Amino acid sequence: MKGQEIVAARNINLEVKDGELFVLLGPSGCGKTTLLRIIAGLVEPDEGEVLIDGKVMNGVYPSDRNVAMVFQNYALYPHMSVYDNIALNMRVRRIPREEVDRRVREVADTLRITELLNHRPKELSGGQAQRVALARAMVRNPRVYLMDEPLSNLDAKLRVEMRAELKRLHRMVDAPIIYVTHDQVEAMTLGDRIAVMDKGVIQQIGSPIELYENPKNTFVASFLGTPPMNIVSAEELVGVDGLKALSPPGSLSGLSVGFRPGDVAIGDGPLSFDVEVEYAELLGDEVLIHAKRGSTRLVIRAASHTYAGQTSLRVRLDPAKLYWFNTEGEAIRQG
Amino acid sequence: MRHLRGHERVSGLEQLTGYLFVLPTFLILGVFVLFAAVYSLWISLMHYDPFFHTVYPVGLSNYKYVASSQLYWFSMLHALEYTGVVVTIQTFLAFFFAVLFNEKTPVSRFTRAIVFIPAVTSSAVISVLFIWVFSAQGLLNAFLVHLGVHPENWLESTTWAFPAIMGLNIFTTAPYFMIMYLAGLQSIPSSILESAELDGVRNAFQRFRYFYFPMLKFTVFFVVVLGIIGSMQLFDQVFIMTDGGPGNSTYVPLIYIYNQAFVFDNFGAAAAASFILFVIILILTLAQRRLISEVRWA
Repeated sequence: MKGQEIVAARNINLEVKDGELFVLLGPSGCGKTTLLRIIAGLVEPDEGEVLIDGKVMNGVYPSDRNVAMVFQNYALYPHMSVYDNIALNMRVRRIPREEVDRRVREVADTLRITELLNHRPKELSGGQAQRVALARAMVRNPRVYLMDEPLSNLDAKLRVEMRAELKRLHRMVDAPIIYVTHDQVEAMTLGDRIAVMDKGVIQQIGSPIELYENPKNTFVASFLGTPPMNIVSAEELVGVDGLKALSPPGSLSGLSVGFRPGDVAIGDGPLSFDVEVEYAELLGDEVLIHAKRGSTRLVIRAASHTYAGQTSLRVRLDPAKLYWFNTEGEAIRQG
Repeated sequence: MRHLRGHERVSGLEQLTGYLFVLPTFLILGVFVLFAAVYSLWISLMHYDPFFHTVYPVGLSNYKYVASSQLYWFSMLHALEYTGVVVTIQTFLAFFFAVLFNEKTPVSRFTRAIVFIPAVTSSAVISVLFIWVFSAQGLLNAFLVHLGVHPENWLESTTWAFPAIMGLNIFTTAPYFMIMYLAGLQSIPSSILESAELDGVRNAFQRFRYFYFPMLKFTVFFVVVLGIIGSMQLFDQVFIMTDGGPGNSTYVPLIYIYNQAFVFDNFGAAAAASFILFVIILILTLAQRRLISEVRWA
């Protein structure tokens, strides 16, 4: 009756430092939430160790790990008031009533939810529920904060507000925050360091700017940045003047060229080629041109005034902003 | 799509469609519940002899007759005793079963199905089966002998017949109510229980105290109300297994009503007795609704 075993995450090795906001970034189903749940102790790994402060946590009960988790749907206790939601973990630990009260009010004050303490979760807006979930985590003074897509249930405007709030909170606590998201903008704006995951494997770890400027493979390259990096097989660009001179030594076959939408300009010159325009999105002072070169789709970001609605365009690449990838999709470092 | 506001009038055709959809249910309820209830209230004020078609009003004398019947109040006392024992045990047992079988393992699914079998078996079939289980050479004694308990002829003992029927009914109704609790338990999002686990809620007692019980308060209320109504209406098992005996030791209100109507042809008294029972059940239900004021959490 046993189902097929699925390996959600393998060979993960990472270290998170004190006071760091560490983002696990990846598409849904890449294993990032599983990793978070392993750290929390909600799932025991088949192999490997989880250490907090140098102590092995395997087999330690979740509540004894002194980690706090903020869930995607907040997981507030619907039958308890906001006050009781925040106080529960201290009550089960038999902390004296006055102490509980003091700490609940303190954290409610920090997160500006004092006036909500007597409300039930169903009476809260998304942003308020989010604050309560954070308060419930903070009140315990945990050794590690784990956050599982905490902003994904909020609308766009509120998400920006809560991002700022999270930054503020992060500065107040010393404990590291491990933050799971599939939203690369969130990862870039919040993270001190990011680990990009795909198919249960960590693809690359680094600061946001490192990952953006030196992606290790096509997955990382196309996952960070909006719109994502264009990746075109070198064969589609055969004959482009000056390309061979910039390529890594050897044959062009099997290689791919990557360039960010903003690193292509409309116009003729060296490294230029023709594309067919499919459609354009006008965003105000800039325009996103969705085009095709052979069978490959690309996006070009240009100033609005430089594009007059042509159906075919000549564009040129910035020679300093090219990325080369081998057959396996790994970046080839040059120079 | 047309936007419908609260007070907006619905077109005649749409109204007709709506009524047509509820018509079958209304017909069935109307004929077998509403009409029957009103008709029996009417009968309770009549001398009613269906065989000779003699019907004439007698005022409240049927009620006087029932109210002064020692057997009726004796049967009512039995019903209360039965309700107290059966509802209490089945409410807890059903909850216990539900928590026990709430896991999603193949074993728990299998055992859950087995436990549920008595709840879906016809009460008449179960009763006939249990006449044998409770008999002198029956299954129950066969077990008890091994424990050194003196065998009893359960259904023929004035001491044990009623408890035996209680036991049988707990056996069949607890799994039925287990399903209600299970539905309630499974509607609790797993992230809430995980969050609780991180908060330090670690043993079954704490989970019960802080989560299962408060979140299932409404289900508990529901199970108790249905249990009480069901207990007051106890009939089939008694009718098949003991017919109110031995002596009057298992005499319950519905046996009284049945006997008045179909044994003594006293339909007026039977109707009056039913109406009194109805009022008592109504009062009990309303009282409970009062006692538990705020029971829903979401």
